Amino acid sequence: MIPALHPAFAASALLFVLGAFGMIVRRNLVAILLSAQLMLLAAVVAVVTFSRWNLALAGRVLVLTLFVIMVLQVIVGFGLARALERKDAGRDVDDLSLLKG
Amino acid sequence: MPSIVEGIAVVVCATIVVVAAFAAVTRSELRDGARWFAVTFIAAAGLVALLADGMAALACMLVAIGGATIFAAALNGSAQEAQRCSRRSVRFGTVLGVIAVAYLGVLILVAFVPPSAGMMPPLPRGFQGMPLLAATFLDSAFMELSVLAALFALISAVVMTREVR
Repeated sequence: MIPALHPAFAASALLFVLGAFGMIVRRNLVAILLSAQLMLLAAVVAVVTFSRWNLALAGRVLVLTLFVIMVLQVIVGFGLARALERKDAGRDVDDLSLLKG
Repeated sequence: MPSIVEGIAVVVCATIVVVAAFAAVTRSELRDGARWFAVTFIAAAGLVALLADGMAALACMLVAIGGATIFAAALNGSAQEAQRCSRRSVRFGTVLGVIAVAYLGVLILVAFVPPSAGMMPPLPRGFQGMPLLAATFLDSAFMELSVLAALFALISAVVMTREVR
């Protein structure tokens, strides 16, 4: 294994843990979406690192697909958050208890 | 690049990523959180560029996504917060995103016209792996998936823009 890759693996794992921590602890919808972005970023770093480790190009191609998923999350997630905030219901996820409407 | 220098750069980027992500998750104010979030994405882009053998387009796209995320997050705050924390990030991310998309477009063309055919100038060091990446992307099943997801993203963006407005 290339020695330079150990910090990247550790950073990926810690980034994922921090994102999961933010998703569990925070109550603000925007903060939860940012934490989800951090978890996806951890996945991107892990895929690129494993791709470098295995010298496989398929991992880097998968990263392009992950980028599209990240963009989708931004568009759909923050669009929904914005729409909910306009109804004064998007600040705290505890207020979002109904699927009606 | 010598491996010792590369190793130090990877350690520095990885440390910045973790520290900035911790700060982004624990800050209570949107403006501060968005700043640290931007630092996280830029450091992660550097890490990706280092690990992906200088494939700078991937890093540029990552920064562009980070800028778009901060812009979207700032839209949910007050107008003042949006103006303060998103303007520079979005400009930076947009410019890099346009460069990345143009670069990927050129390299997909290069994949169809290989440099060995003598019709293209040789690529600079650090970017020579991109034609192979583009060719792999065009041959893989991920391409259809990515194109479908990108179309879905486009449709979602149009629908969400109309709904939010």
